[in-house]
Amino acid sequence: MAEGEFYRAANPQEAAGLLAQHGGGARVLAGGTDLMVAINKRKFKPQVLIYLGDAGMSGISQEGDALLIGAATPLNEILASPLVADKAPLLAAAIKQMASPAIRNAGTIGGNLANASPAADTATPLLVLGASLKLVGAKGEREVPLAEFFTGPGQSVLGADEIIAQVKVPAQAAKAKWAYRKVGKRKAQSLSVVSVAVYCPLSGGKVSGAAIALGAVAPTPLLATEAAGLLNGKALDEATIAAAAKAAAGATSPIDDARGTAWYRKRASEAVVKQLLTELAG
Amino acid sequence: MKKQGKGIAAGFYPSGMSGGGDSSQAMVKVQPDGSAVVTVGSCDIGQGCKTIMAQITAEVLGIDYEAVKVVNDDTDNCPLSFGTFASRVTYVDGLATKMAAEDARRILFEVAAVMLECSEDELEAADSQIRVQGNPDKALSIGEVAGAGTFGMRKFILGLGHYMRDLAAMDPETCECDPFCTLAWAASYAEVEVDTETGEVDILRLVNSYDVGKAMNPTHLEGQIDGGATMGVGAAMSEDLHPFFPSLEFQPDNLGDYAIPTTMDVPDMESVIYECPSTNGPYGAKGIGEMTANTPGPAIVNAIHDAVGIWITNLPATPEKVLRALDAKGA
Repeated sequence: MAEGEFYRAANPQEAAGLLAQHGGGARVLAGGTDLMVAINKRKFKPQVLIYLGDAGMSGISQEGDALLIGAATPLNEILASPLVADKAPLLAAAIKQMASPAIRNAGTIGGNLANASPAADTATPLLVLGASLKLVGAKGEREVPLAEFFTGPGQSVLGADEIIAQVKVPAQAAKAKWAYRKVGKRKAQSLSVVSVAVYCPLSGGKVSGAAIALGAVAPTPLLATEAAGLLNGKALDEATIAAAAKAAAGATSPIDDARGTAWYRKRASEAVVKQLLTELAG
Repeated sequence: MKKQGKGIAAGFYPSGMSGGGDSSQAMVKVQPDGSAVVTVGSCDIGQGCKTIMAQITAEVLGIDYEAVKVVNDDTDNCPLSFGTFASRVTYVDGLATKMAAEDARRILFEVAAVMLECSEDELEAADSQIRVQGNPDKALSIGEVAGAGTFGMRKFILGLGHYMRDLAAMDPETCECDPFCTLAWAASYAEVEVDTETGEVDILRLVNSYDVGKAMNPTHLEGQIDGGATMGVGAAMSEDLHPFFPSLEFQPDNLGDYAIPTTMDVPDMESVIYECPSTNGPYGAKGIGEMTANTPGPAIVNAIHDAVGIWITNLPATPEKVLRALDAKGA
């Protein structure tokens, strides 16, 4: 790595202030599982690194009916949390299939989202659960729904002087059915070729407030709102499931890359949505 | 829909380079305390060369495995060897080591025959002793013999071995020849489950049986079979240097994208050791190093065929290839 300055931010505000002060040559560092890979591949040489691990941004708590997860909380800590297992088991199910234990010990939920990969594996469960982000900038803080956060591959609404400080996750409804699946090149330590999270709150045997999200099949993690809308007010019968799966695949706009082709991603999107919904119906 | 299938595959593989000329030398030096040092030129890449050469030497000299040191780490200072490849080390270096150890034992017998006032032909080496066969009272520890030989009789207790298979002569009329040192035989059995909608293939069970000739170290062999089978699973299922062949786009440039199997990708595996002794290998042993990666792939591909009726003719059998083949079959 190139020589540069290293700061240990004491709080999110200080981190944002340092970003504003140092401009484009500065990067924030949490678990480093994306940033250090990019630096090692010589994709860029940051002049300034601002470490977030001591900025009081780690930990999981409950506020009313929502979970508050510090952005610098390591993924494995979220996976091991009884609170997450109780209130947002869908998020834990997705994290369990991410990377490997060693990487999950370092990688953080905020980093996974801020990196804004279309294949970010925490994005799909958080999207269907209606999560929002607390962004802290040099001039103040704001709350942004995750559904409005991503703007393109590696791009988000995060300002140059902003960091993600906290992820707010509404608790899953007690009667909701949910499922998650990831198709990768292998069963572990793999990036998603297609990932799908489905969330179906039920009311009197009918779906109400369903959400379907897909990863790695569009420029951003994708909330398939039209597909989910087809489920609402219906029972999960075969025709409804088939229509929703078709609509979800129709919303994707995948590309060819090292992990799979656009053709396969579209096909697998429909198949996985169909299989997960069928699982919920069973 | 998920469909299950079963498949088998069989194969054979020669030990060492075919056609003759494949050559290895070994030296076995018995130290004055009765311990031994084996020097061979084939290095250990994890296959267990050091262990096997020590076992062979200990067996011939009748000493403990722990009393043998193997030196094989320096090509500048080791005797001739064509190297670690061609599944040849247990077989070719093993034969050279056995010959060298027998040569060292011959020198020990020369010394012991003088000390015990007997003929060399009457002697045996066992239990860290050189003794008269059938007469346990006439025995000396190997250390006594080696010490007296080295210091008293100025003997250099150094055995040399050189194994080289003669060039295979070919009958000019029929082209008949005998090019192989030995052949090892193999079979794999696979059970898979194919997801007909995503094309994913789950390997449920994999049984691999290898003819090792003589199992000198069964635990080693089970590890070697499991390791090779894991490589076979990788080749069959996920490892792809040119995912968009003939386009060279998206070639993996790291071990994240070149997906070797993780422990999660490896099915329940059973290693079955089969012993059909070779006529001339050390104690009947054959080499199985490379072939352990060969049979799992075709067994898996056959199982996929049994499950859904498609033939995957280009590995790895990715979900996309399976799905496209299913489409083509349905059309």
